[in-house]
Amino acid sequence: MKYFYGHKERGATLLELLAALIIISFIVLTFSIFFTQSQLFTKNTEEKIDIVNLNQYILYEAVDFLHEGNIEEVLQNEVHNSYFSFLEQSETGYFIQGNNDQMYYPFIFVHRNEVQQEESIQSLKAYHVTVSLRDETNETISELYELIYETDLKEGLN
Amino acid sequence: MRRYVSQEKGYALLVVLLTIVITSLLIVPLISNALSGAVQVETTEEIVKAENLRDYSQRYYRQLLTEEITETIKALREIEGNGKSDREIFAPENFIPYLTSDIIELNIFPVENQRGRIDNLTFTASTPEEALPYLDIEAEYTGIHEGRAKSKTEILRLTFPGLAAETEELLSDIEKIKQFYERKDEAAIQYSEKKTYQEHFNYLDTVLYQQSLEMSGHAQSDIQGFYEKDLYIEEELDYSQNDKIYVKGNVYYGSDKQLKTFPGQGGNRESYLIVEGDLLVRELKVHNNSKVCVRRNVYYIDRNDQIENLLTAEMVNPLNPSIGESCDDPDTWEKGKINFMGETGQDTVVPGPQITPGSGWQISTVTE
Repeated sequence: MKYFYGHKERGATLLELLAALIIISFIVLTFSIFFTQSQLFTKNTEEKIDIVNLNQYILYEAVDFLHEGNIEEVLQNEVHNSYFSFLEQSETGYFIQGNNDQMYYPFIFVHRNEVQQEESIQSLKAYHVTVSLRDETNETISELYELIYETDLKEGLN
Repeated sequence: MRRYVSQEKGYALLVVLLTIVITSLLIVPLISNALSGAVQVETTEEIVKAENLRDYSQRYYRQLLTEEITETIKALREIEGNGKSDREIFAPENFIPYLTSDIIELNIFPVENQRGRIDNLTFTASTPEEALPYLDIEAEYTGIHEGRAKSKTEILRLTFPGLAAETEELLSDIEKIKQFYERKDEAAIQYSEKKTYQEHFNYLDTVLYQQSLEMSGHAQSDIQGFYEKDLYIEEELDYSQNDKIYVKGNVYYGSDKQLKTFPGQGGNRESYLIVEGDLLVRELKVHNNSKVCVRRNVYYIDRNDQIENLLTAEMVNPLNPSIGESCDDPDTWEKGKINFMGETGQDTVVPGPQITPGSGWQISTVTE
């Protein structure tokens, strides 16, 4: 250490070197943990953005499809997903693939049920569309709604 | 202590520790930066979903309101429909309080789980002095997702242009009619002598007969006359059975004499007068065998050529307002009467979404 004061010295001792090595390795380790964590984070947030985007995409596609005059036909069937050709199908059901090749299981549901005691969507002359995305454990990870007016449907048919 | 300082042994450790402190200081903003990115994504997701719910609520409310207005109109018509005209039933002073109370009674829950809401309903009605009556319905729509709320306020304006528009329309019609008979002397073709036709004729321009117009073909040779524009007759129209006069424009008949069918005795076949525009008459005399159809309106004019009134359905004889779908089917016309359809000349379609058929009320969005 006399080096710092202009004195001559042969070099750092082995002990010093070892200590430095240990310390540096600690720092590197911390950094590497931090980087992997942030990488995971980025992946996670990307997925989230992806999910919302996909949910919106499916909702718009479904609404578009229903505007083409298929709504009554869809309503008559309990499994609504089967009507939407943009969904892919596998053994596990209808799915859509995200940017990270992640699989999501969408659920499209159209109804005119009651919304409260006296009021129903039907009396509103409208249809309610729910599009939710589920993961492999069948847990809902995103859900969006849209209301389709009967009058808009008629215009769509013309 | 002094010993340690002068010896300088272990100084390396101090340098290393210092480095660690500096490095960790540098890492803090880096981590917070990365974390804030994640928070931002989370927030954006919540906002997107809250906005979706809010827009849903807005659509829901608009539809609910539209339906409610339609229902109110139906109900009002049923309750007060006896003897009252639509004009009276849907007059603002009657309609606004009724509709307002109906809307207040509505239960508004757009989404089942009530994550979308409509709050702060306020009503602002126009004062009676205002020319165009209206009712402003202000509402705040809110969507809530994971505790994040997104709201917006919208004013739905119900306007009642019915009265204003109709008066204006009637005025402009009368104004047009005035211009029509004031231009009588400017007619492109004028006959100061009695004009007699023996065969079919066709005029591409306005015609004025200062004397009589006679179609004197005998019963076997029916004469057809076409006027592409307006027709003015100051004296008498004298046409015989099965003759046909077709006018694309308006007709002015300034004679005291009736619209004749045939001059002589005998014969029971009809003669036709078809007017695509308005018909102005001084005397409402129509011969028993004359069939007159007017697509627009019939106006009665006095001796000074001033419009006295617009003849309406209430004045039964000799008007027949209840003819078929059009002037195209003479079988549906009544003989000896002026059959008129009362069509208006201009398009009565008002721009904007017209959701209240028949009542004269319209709904529109003022602010979003």
